[in-house]
Amino acid sequence: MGEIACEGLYFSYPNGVRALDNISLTVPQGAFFSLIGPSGCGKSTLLRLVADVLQPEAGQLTIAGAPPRAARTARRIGMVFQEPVLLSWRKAVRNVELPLELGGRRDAAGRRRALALLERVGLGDLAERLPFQLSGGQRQRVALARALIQEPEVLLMDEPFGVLDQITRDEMNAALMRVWEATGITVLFVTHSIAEAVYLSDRVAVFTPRPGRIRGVIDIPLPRPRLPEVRRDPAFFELETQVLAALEGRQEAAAGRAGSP
Amino acid sequence: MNDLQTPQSVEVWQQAMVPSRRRRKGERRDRILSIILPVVTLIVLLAFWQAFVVLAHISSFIFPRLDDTLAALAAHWPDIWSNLLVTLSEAGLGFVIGNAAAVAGATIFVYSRTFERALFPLAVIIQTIPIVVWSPILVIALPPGSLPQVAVAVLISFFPALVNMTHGLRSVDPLALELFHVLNASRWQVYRKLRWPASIPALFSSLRITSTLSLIGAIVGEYVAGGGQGLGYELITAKQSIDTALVMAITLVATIAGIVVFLAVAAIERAVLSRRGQVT
Repeated sequence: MGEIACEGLYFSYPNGVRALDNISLTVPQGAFFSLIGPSGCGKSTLLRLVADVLQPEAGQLTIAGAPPRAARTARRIGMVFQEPVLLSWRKAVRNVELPLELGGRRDAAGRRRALALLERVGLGDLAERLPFQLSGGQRQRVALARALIQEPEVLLMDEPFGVLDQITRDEMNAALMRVWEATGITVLFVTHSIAEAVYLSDRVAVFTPRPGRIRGVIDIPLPRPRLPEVRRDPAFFELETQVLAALEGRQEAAAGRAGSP
Repeated sequence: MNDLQTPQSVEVWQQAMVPSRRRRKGERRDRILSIILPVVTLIVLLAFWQAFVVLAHISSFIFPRLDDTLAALAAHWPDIWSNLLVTLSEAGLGFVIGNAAAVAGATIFVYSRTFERALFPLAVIIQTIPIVVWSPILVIALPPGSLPQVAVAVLISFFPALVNMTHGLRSVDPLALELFHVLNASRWQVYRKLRWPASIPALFSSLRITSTLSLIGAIVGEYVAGGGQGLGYELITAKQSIDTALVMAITLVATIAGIVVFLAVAAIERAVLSRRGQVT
């Protein structure tokens, strides 16, 4: 029910820059799907189209067979940004409750769910803290709990761990796997990190920039549940190399284009 | 969970970075200094005042000495006190109305560029016309009593509060707006749960600025009205009877009232913002 499908998607910014050029891809229900590519290749734009923040210029985009607007107005979309985007005046638990509150469903059961989610992301004893009393990684965990509280069909993550240090980032990845693997939510995940994409995903789509196109989609057939140890598996290294090769292919293509008139 | 993320270890780390006892001592010394230094400045200034008038042999009715001023203050205290209360109530009413109007105006501006383009120049005009020009017009136009003074206090408070609040309501993290959009928040929810709480620091800076401005407005209004009650009125009658010591005493009281009001608002601001985690 949470399948994301796009077909021949185009998008240009008002300044004329084409961010997406004929994007077609399908994210199966319940899959963890990553978009990887250099900055400015349209990955975040695609995410914003799925979130019904931006509207495509041309092409088809559906979530569970309906336009993104239907999923958004039904509050079936969870979103995590690169920044935690917490409301600084609300305690952690009140931040997690926000989506319920905006849906007019703030009650004791919601509070229990918020506390349980904070527990699951490892912040059980910090529910009463204000954001400034939390570390960067802790704040991003609150943001993750907030995105999950309404049990979304699709979870959109825009480089959610991009500003964290490598150690915290690895921890966050492990925490995300632990939380996500129990849910079956469809995830669309934007990242710059090859290791992160391979570790988390069922499939990785490699983007090329200006205009944003998909160079290839790579299957990641590593077993689940994904434990951190999988990073030391030779198969993991092999898959990283595949993604890297796809990314480097982009540079050759770009050089070729620059040479032709 | 990994050790690196437990709260205790974060605190340990913070303590390791800055030795806490020394830090706390430094903070306390800082706070004491920030109280002592202005007091010292004030005492030096008052001493200089007294010494200058005495040593320069200036006649007390041209420029009263500090002790004459204090004597006048003591002699007229009941009058000054009741006039101060009148002025404070006018200023307070002007302060509340001015800020409420500014919040309403800022809210309209944030939601309608058209209204902002149409009305902001008007607000600028109100601001650029000096208050001494406004005051006689208001005094003539409005029924006598406290109304003209309140109106002057409103006018003088409105513009700075409007500018502050418009900025406050507008300076919301664009990603937070995007989040609210994705969560299908209504316009009212965006205002009530995002813009308004995010603008509380701006609201307090409006309140801080206009607390003293509204007091000035009320005094100017009374001064121009030339009748009724209030510090401004008492000031003009003292001036007319060339009682310079009383003029000085009233000025002193008005100044202290302004400082007290300002510090009170600033103290509330600190308390509220630190509880809300919005200290910048």
